[in-house]
Amino acid sequence: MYCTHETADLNIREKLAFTSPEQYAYAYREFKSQYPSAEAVFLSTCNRVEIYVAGEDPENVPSSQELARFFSEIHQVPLDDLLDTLTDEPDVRAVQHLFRVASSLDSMVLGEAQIVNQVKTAYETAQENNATGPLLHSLFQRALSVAGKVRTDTKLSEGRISIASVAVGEFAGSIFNTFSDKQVVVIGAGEMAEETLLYLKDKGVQNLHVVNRTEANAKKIVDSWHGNVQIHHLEQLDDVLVKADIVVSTLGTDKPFLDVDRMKPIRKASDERTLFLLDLGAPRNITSDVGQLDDNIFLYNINDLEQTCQRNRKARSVEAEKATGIVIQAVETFQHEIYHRTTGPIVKRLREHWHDISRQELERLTNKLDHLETKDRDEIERTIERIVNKLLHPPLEEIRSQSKQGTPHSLLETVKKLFHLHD
Amino acid sequence: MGIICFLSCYVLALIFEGVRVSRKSAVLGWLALGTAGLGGFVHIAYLMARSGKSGLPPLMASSHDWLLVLALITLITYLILQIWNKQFSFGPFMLPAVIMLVGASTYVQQSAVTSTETPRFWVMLHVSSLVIGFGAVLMSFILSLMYLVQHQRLKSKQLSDNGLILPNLERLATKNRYAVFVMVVFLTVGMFSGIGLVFSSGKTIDLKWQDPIVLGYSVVWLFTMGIFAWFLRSKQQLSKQVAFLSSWALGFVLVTVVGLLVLSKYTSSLTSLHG
Repeated sequence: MYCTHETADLNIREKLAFTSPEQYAYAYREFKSQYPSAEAVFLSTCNRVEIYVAGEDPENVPSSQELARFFSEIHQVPLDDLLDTLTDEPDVRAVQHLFRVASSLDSMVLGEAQIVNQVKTAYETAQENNATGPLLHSLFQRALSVAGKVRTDTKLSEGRISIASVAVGEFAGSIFNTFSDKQVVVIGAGEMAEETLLYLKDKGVQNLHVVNRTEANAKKIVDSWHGNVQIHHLEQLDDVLVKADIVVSTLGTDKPFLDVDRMKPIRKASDERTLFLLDLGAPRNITSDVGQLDDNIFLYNINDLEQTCQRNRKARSVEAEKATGIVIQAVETFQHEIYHRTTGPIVKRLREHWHDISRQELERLTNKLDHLETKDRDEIERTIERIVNKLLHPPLEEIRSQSKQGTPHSLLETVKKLFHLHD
Repeated sequence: MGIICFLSCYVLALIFEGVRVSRKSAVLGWLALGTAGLGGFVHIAYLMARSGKSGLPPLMASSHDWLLVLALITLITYLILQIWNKQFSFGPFMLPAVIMLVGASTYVQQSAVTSTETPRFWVMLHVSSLVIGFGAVLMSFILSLMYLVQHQRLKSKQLSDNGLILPNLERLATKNRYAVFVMVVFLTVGMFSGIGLVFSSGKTIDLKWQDPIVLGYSVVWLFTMGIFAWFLRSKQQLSKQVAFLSSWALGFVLVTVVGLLVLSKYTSSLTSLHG
């Protein structure tokens, strides 16, 4: 059962999210106390909250209504608020969903690399809380393996597709080799500035200057920054730019505030050092002629980066088809294995039971008819075996057929009752 | 015949690299490496055969052998760099240099200029230092070209999706600095070991100080010292101007050196001990 960025807005997802190890531990404790024989894994990311449950006996596994109530109770969210946002996928659809999620086919950013680690962490957390069992072990281990296969056999994760990641990863990465010794200036403190900071952090930036109209907003976006950070007012911008190697401008203005006349003295003071200027403002913050001021300025705006993003997005969607094929194949294989695991023992017992009966009756017959020759006895034995196999064929075929849609619990129970196949 | 064999391999490798630029293909990359490697083996066999015939190691032989050794060093550098950094495209820059050196070697003196009597240590030191030094000149030239190409692509915002993937500017500038340093050290050692060779060889080497190659190399040495000094003084190592000027300067050095070797074979006024 789950809700994602496609089915629920951020408000609901935030309320249902698991944000700390203590919250996970509490949730697992509550789940195990209510459903001691069921297995569970909770997966919570910024774009989804999901709960996977499994059990050998379907009667011990919570239904979708029970799961919704469970969510409601542990997060103290009214059940009515959740009912339209939660989606329920049973059996093989749950397997397919998890394989797609782990392979980043269900992500907001197709092919993003973080989700597989998030799935792995969720699985490990469930293990630490003793909430998993053989079914979810198999399922999650297989999901991680499928994600690995998608990553190696397709180019789904190649090519960056967000403006900030293209700017930092592809363009800045084509200019600078190391970022830890570079002076990075971020102008503005909005969402785009925050997103760019994430990519700069990944690149190892240590020296950060944030320039903004208000100090308070600037402080918010550098809350979790590890490294040197200085906050400056917009009036100090020119002095800060003299030392800059990378400048990311994200200010919301109605006209550009950095032009050639302003940049000339700054460039002179900086000995025309190599400068990467990233203008993510809309309308633009920097006039385009600044890029022509000298040979060592590299100026990019949103339009320049969008082309690369679109090309990468197109490439990813082609790869998504390949990845989907891999997932479908993996689901079929997994289903086949689970079918054997759940139905195998019952099918085996049924066959053995019937063949035992046929052997006992054959022995009784041959004892009574001791005048029979060996070849006659063999022929009778073969005939009885054919009769047993033909009689067994319809129920076994039905079990196999129903297994394609998921474990046929009720059919298996019926078979056990009809033929007295006790555990 | 031997030269045609390995030269053909290098040309074929360059063709594979050229096609790889227009369409990304790991297979083409491996084909280029394989073909170039095969050429390298034939190249080594050729040098060994010549060495066996003359009784001298290649570095003690002729200008022909020196240029082939330089081409071989460049090829090996290309193979190592390409295998170590599979994602980058070194071939389109380095293979033409290898091909041109091999081609130039056919226009220079092919007979040995030293004999078994010449002091081996000094000759080996002199020639090997110069070969490494000029190898570094060549690398610096290539790195500067790569810098200029990458710079242009970034300036025009065309980091295209074809197969020409180059290292970033900072990395190219850093490697260029190392190459310039190696160049200066080894050309200086080559220069002074040449003087040492003359003084230690006595009458076995009849070197005139007006020897055109000696004069030419001396000018080249002074020129490269000038480049080095300018490099050290440049405030911004990571800049297009540095790459532009070093590519022109070092290109000039290479043309001068190879040109002198070629001309000394065909022009009586440039007859030199070096062939």
